[in-house]
Amino acid sequence: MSATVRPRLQPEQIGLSTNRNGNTAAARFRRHKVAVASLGIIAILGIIAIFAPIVALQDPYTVDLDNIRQPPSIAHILGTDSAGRDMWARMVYGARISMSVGFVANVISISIGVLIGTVSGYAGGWVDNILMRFTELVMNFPTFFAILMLVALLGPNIINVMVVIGVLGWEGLARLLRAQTLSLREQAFVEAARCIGTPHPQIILRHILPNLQPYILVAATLGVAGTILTESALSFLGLGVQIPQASWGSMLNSAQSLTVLTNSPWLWLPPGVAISVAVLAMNFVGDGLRDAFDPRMEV
Amino acid sequence: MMATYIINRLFLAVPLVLGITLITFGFINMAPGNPVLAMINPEEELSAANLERLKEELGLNRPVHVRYAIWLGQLVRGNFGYSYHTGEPVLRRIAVRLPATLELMGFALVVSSILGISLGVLAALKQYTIWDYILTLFALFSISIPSFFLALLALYVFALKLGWFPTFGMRSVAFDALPPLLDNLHHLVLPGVILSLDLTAGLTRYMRSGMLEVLGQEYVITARAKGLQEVRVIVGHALRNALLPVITIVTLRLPILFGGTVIIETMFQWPGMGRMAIQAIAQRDYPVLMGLTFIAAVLVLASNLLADILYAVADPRIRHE
Repeated sequence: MSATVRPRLQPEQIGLSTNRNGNTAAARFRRHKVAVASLGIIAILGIIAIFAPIVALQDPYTVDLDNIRQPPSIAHILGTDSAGRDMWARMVYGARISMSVGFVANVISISIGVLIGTVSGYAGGWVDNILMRFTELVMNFPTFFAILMLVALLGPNIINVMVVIGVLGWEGLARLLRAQTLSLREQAFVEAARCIGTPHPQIILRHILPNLQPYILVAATLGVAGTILTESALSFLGLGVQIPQASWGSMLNSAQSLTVLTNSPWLWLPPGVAISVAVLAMNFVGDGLRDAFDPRMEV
Repeated sequence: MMATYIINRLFLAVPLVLGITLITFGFINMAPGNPVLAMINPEEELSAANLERLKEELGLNRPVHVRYAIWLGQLVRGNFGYSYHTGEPVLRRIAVRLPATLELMGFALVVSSILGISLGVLAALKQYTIWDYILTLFALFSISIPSFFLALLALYVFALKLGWFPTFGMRSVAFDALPPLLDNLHHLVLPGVILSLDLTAGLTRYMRSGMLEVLGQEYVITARAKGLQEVRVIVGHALRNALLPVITIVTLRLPILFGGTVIIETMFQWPGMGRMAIQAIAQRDYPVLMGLTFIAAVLVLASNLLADILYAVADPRIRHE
């Protein structure tokens, strides 16, 4: 029995379906060639990550001390690392870890951001005040320092890295969604829902959230780019994914030695390029989505 | 008016500082070892009985909120505890490292302000031309390529292959080195520029949209209509107004810049706080790590406060709100 009048944004404007005039968000996105191509790249990376055991051709963990730091050859198309492991196989498995860490961490921060943002904006008053002061506090904290410290305390492993990055990256989204919720709350359809006695949680879920979808989608895409970067930085510093597991960032770790940097470019160029391409593609898609929804959106 | 505004802002900062101490204390309590115990000077010889007495005095056996109060009291007196590793007071160790980080960050801030503002204005004035697209691409690449990968590339090309810049450190030890100031600057270029890129990209994008917005305003049209030279319209009327929010953007991104120093300082062996943090993690030197995080948070808070005040000085509308 809830009112489903949504004056400003129709579902098709949010880009979920197309309509006849071809000027929906989805159509506008499709016209953004670079963004579409980037989406393709992400899809390919995703497929590689999912089918890693097939694509890798070799085992990424087999140590071969007779063949360490071999340049690319037919046996090892990207060469071997400092323990003689096949670089291509490690790159492929690295895609799996880098992308899933980025994805899970992002799901965590989006969930926290949505929860705090909508509740804060909808409830207003002292709830809003407390939640926003808390958000400000987290925002003021130099995030990377806090992440480093937490990871060091909890112990560097893949689960902790996901959780810590996720728990410390929601402030921007929370503030943005709060501002949007504040204005949605005053709209007639929300008021109508309140009048017929719809419970508050249901109003947030059925009337507020659907209207926030574009923001969440854009923030999520740009957010994955950010979390992949953070994970790679942590792993590069040796505080992320631990050997023998590989993420793209941890594969670059060995290049901190000047000998590796000078003599074995195949050890650090491919993973570095992979991170850059994945993050760039995510950012392009995020930009394309933003332009398709509303270029002035401040995500 | 101004004074009231400043006092108001300072007052608002108090709960934030308290929050920072709470979070830091929370972290400390998760760390192995005892935070309050870490505040006892390790150079004092202690008998087991004396240690017990000291523990009692420091409230080690007391509930957590009492321990927080004791810890806060020590913090206010400037006792950040003693390093597990060297036994030195934490604050003294950080003070030694602070200038290097400030130098690096200051350089990055200057570079990105100059570059970001001028490139953003350029992109706005040349909207939809090839320049605009190149600058947009540059900005996207700068935020997408990880700084450590850029640093590796820069080290490989400019330091190792071309030999233009030193690979590490703040200054040379050789006798035939450049004069101290130039030598320092020579070491600063690579890490400083790479650290500045992220902020440069952000400012470029921001200045572009800011300028485009201002250029469409009526007062700009009026300035043009009364026949002012284009340069004076852009610099005197448009840029001045588009510049204001830059203060906010820079300070909002300060924590990110701070985080960036961890990676850049580690890679270029720059003897600052960021590298110290990584060393402290490797040595499990938790008091140092906590001290660093706390100081970093307070520095960021202080600069935000400064930004608010600067903003109010520059824009009278703010302080009259």
